[in-house]
Amino acid sequence: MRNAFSTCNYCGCGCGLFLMEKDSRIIGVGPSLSHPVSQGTLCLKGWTSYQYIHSPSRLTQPLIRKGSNLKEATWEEALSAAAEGLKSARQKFGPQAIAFFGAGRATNEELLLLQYLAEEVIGTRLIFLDSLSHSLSYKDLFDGKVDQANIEDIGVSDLLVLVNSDSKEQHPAFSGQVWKALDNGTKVLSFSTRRDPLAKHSQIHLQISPFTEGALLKGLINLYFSDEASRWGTIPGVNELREMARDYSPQRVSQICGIREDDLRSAFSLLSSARAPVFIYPWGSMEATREKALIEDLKDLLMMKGEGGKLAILYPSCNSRGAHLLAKNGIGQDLSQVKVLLLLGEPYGEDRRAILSLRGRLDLLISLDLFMSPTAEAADIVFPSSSFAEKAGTFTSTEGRIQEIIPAIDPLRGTRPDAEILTSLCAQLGAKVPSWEDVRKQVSQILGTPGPRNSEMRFEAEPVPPPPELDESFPFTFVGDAVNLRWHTDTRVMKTPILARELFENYIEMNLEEFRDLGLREGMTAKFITRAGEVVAKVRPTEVLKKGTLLSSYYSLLGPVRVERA
Amino acid sequence: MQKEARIISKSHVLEWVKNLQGIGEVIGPTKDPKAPTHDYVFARLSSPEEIRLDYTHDLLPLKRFFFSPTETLLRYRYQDGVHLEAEIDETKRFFFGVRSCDMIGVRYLQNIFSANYEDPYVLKKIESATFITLACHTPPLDTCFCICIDGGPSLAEGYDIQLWDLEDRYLVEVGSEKGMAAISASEGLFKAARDQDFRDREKRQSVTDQMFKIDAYFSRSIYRVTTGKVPDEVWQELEDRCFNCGGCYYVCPMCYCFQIIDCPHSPTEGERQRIWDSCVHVGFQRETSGHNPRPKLAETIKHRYFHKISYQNFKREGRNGCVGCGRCLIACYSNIDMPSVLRKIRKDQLTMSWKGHFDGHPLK
Repeated sequence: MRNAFSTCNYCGCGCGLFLMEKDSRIIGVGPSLSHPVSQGTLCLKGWTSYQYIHSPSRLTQPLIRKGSNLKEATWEEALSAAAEGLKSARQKFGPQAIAFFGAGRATNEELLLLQYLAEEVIGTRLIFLDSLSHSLSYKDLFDGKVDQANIEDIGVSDLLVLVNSDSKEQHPAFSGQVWKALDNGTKVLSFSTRRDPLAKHSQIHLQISPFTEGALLKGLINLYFSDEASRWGTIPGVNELREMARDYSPQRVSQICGIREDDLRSAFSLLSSARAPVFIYPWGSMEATREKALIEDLKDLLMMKGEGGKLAILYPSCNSRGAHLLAKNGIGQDLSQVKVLLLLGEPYGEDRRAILSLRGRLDLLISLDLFMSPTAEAADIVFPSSSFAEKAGTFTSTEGRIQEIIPAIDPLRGTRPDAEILTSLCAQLGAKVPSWEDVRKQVSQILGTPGPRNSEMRFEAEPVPPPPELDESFPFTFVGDAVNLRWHTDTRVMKTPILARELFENYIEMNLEEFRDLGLREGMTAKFITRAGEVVAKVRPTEVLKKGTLLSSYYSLLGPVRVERA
Repeated sequence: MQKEARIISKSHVLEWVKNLQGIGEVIGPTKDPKAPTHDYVFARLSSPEEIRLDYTHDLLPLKRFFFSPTETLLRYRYQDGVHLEAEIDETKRFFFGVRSCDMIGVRYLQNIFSANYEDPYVLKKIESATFITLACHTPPLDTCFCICIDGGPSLAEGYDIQLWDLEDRYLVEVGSEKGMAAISASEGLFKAARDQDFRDREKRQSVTDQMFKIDAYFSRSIYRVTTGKVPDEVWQELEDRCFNCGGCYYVCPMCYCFQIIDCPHSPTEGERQRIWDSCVHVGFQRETSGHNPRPKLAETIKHRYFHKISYQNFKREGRNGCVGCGRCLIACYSNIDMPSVLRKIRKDQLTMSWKGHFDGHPLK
């Protein structure tokens, strides 16, 4: 029995783990005691991450759509069909009609090869990595204006500021450090829509109305200006920022956010007196324009704070940061002319909705995946991918650590590593095939951690989108939630017996009083109606939500909601 | 009372290991060159030089070699009737350098899997194994607390051979016929143990207890748990902190809950597996009807600790469900571990604040 040291393939923490191999199967996982991030821990996804590898549902044969069904095909047939499809589409519609997508769970090597295929071989600019639109480019996010926090900074900080993040669910290794710091005397200032378990232990927890984080941060900036106005005199951008912050008086902010003015002032006083605050924010957790404003406000606040403050950006997937660094497309790419789509893995949330809604208009959809995901089900050609335990490559963790995954076992029979599938496609298209060594060299050249902080300060005044407007017919706001046992599109999670067992029921949560007012009881379903459609779902009462808020980790409702008994 | 004993010079140990490799597999603590510096993992040795007897802890206990994380119980095939095949592993193995706490864990599992039904998958592997343990002179990690719960640092029984580190040599205590057999195969490497060797051992062990840094006083907590004097709020607090990761279960030498799943490879064949599963997860005891007797983490955590420290279980299993190996202090994200929970139950119950056991990294 062998133990192979590797990296987890789920979230951006990048925990080290040992894969236990016996008779060519991965039979278990072990933690890494001295790994700098995980330090001997693993979350349940990590502990069970080996269970989906040998799932009977793994795709082990390429598939080609014939009529309305996907039929098994050989690798030669599938590769040839894919290459032909790409070639003829480029001829008929031009390269900008072909788009590529690489999921955040793909390795740096795979993403580089995908980019090569898209840009050099096909000639399209439409290549999306991890997300259809990043709120800020990598360069703009890590522009050096503020110090980036690493996991070690959490334990030595005196104040942790958690911006709408229950990282216990999304980034356990970092949240673990938060709880440990809390037990050792570090204070926590948190604001979130849900009164999460950490709230009880926070020095100050502000339960803000949905989508009002932006207003809250502007409110703190406003208080900084009233506190020491003279300090900011000559810094570029200060006048625009001061002008914008004027609209966010403590009184107005407390109204918008649904909090008490006193609490806002206490939060400010806690922040301004902190010596080494660390702001923690989960990247990609909100809509792009909202996120852009929030990030700029976090940076502005840290610059106003002065020396000692740091910003921890927590990327969602194991290689989201790698994808972000390589990505070249920003907000608002136009997909209306796309005729052919090739996806390595799946997009999720709103992105998945956008991609799948293209289905009727597409000539060709090619999917590379481990399981029959919704995207694969909609595809014309499906390639069976090898898992993270069956291939070599690197992931860039949320802190920028470039870590290896190794082939602890050979690729499952019938599957191939995505890198191999992509190079085979290049070969079929008659293009030069990059060698593995070349790709690895490129990875080490392109990827890296951002440089040291530069002393040039500049404030950015980014307007905050207002929260969605409610009215009598649609009085509820829906907020998406994270739950540790779920991940991304749940494709791997649902093929993991223990996780699937735990996630046996999907539901939407609402305030206990409103639940009772509607005459609902435990175990009932309700109808959730939006202007875009309706959903019938199990509904659960909770005391951690304010009135008018709905929360779910599974369902996703666009816009204001009305709730009725089903 | 002194057992049959020998001395082996440290310079001869690798040769002994090599000889044992001629008889069966040797599994000992190793380091993976790709893994972070202080990670040690018990693995089958290819060459004797791989063994690292100066190791701290394998964070995953020995149970995985007997109670496997994924055990194929049987393979089935439908072809003119049902065909069932089961494989029982009876490979001869030597476990070299096992810590006392882990040895107790193995014997505990041996009891558990013999009660009511003799589980051949677990028992045959244990019966085919020879255990060469390593008594601790200093606690391997600051998180150790075996002295609080009769989990070490050395054993009175339960081992085949117990090694005591005497700086340039090991005192080799024989605990069974199997142990005797492991020595006889390499008789030339061993010398007789003299009185001076035993005196050296006493001297070295006399300072061991003082070096432990964690306190975990069990008795008052056992009383409170057994007599129902722990308020529910204590467990609710644990639910708030708990990440539901199952780590405490995975790393515990004394935890043995599992799940049975069927894995069809095709409509006509597949296998039935036993996989690791923790009672802490709320889905663990959910019944087919959908009813769940313990639907909240607070209740499952309470159940798990009750199982480990209540007197009823002590009487049934012969000891408490903890050996003080300290792994739960490392595996838990939010400081829920046996010493913390005991302190919470024993002392202030509702007002006691949580305290971390170590500053920063567990290895510091």
